[in-house]
Amino acid sequence: MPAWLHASRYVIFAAMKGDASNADLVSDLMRDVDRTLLRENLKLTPEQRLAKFASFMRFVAELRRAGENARRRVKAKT
Amino acid sequence: MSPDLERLVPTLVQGGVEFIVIGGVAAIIHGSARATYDVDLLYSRNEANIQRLANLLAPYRPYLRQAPPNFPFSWDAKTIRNGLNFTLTTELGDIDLLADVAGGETYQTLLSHSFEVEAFGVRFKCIDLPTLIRIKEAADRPKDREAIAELRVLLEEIEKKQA
Repeated sequence: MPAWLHASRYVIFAAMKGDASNADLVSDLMRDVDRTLLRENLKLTPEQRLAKFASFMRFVAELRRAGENARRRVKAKT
Repeated sequence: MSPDLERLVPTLVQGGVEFIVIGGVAAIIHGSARATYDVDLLYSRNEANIQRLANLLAPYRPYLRQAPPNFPFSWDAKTIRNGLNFTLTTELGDIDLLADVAGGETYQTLLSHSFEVEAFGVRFKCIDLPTLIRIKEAADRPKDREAIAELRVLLEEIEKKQA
């Protein structure tokens, strides 16, 4: 078998393997998805889902502010 | 900075901007449990829409995310006209303004794959779930894999519910 053909076979197999692992990876990840969270969200209207998200983001912002303040206080002490 | 959707969305809708919500916020509208820290908007490239976007966002001082502070950037219709996709930081949070998405889809081509959502006192367009999955798959970014898995599960759950 010529060397170029031998090499190209590996390239093709590698590409095929790459595609397969992408699909496999998403399928594997689907098994890890917490369906209970999604089922709870599906009981809400789109507006309620957005309100829940906005409220969560306010909570995250508050935690960030608290973290920054704490770091500032520690820095001021040292 | 996370998007202040309660202010951003009504501002755009009441100003007559043509856009479709895509990305993580669209996923949340469909029931995703994943957080997102920006909002992706696919906007229409017609001249009137470009003008409206420029005027309505200008008060919120849009600037290119991660650009150095002295980078020469001004938010106006000419900038939008000369560019396509903008990753912006604004006083209303981080906004990705997109003229097209992976696969070359635009506002016009995806309009028929969107539906109306009512929230924050206004009605606006959001991409449908199968199309959202298709866009994310076309982008083929490793960081999207978990999101795609969740969206596929969501689609399964919705189909199960409808059956």
